[in-house]
Amino acid sequence: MRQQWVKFMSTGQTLFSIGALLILSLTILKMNNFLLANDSVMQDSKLGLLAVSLATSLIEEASKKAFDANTVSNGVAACSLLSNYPLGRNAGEIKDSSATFDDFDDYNGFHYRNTNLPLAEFDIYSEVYYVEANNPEVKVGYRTWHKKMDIIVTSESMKDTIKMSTIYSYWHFR
Amino acid sequence: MGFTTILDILGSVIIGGVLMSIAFRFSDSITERTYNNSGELTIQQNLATAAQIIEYDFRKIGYCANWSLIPDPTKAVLYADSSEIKFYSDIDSDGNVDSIHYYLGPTSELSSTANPRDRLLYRVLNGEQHKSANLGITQFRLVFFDALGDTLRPPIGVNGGIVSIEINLTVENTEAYDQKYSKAFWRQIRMVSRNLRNR
Repeated sequence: MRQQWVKFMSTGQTLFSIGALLILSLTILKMNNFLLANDSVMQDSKLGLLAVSLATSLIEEASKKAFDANTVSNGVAACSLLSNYPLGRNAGEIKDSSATFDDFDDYNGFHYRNTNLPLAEFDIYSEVYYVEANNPEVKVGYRTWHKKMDIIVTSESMKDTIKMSTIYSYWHFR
Repeated sequence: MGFTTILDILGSVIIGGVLMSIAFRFSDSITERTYNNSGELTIQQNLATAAQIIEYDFRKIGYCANWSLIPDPTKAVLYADSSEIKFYSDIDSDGNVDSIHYYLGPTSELSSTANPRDRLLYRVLNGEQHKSANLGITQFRLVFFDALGDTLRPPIGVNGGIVSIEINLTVENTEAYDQKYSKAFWRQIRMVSRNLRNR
């Protein structure tokens, strides 16, 4: 009888020990998971800052160019004199080489891979299209005085994609 | 007390020790992560704030609400070096020309912090008393480009042909757990002040 009791007791203690170790293991795993998720969010926001700086840099770069290929050296007084669709590079401008671009819509279909930043490599894509002043969210299929540029910055190291937009309007001193 | 009991006690002491060791290491790791994560959050906030102020000021280089006071914006940059710039602008858009001077202080100024690399970034408006806060800035490097996109060699004086500027900013923790400093980097590539256009 005593032997049976001792055997039962040690089985119970073993079960308790296994249960305690299981709870401890689960707690450690959960905490580890939490820490890794936290690190991932931190890293993502750090990369997000860099991605935003790349997008704004492209906006700045494009904004210093002329509004249209036809306004590089002369002004235009009618929308019909602006470049029609498809927007993009003109003769002598090299694909994805923004240094050769002379106007804003040359950035339509532009792609650049930035490999010289710390932490990650980024891919930058841009699209340019005409919009109306009273509804700048919607692309229109005809020429207006306003061009909108959408920039997308992605990275394999980043969970999210950064998207920024700018509108460039034509004005001319007479 | 038999041999089995002694063995049981020894075994439980060893297992208890291992568990205690795990618990201590885990606690240490949690403390480090908490310290580093809050530090990381702080440096990202500091970086965003510094970038916002710099971006706002630099965008206005050569601007004045009363345009006749800065008739030639290309002469708005008075002095430019790799970690220093002085320029004219109308920061508060009140029609008066303001002079702004950005420069990086020496590391010896912040010898009280644990980070040996952090410096103060000064912003002096109209020659007034310089203002700065320790944001943990370890790098403020400027690169200047002309109208053709070629790099200009600093130092550059008035009318040096600056059209665009690349701003590199790095912020680190001023204090860190076990000397492991977190770092956040920001680069505004070729930010062009619209008023510096030479066309």
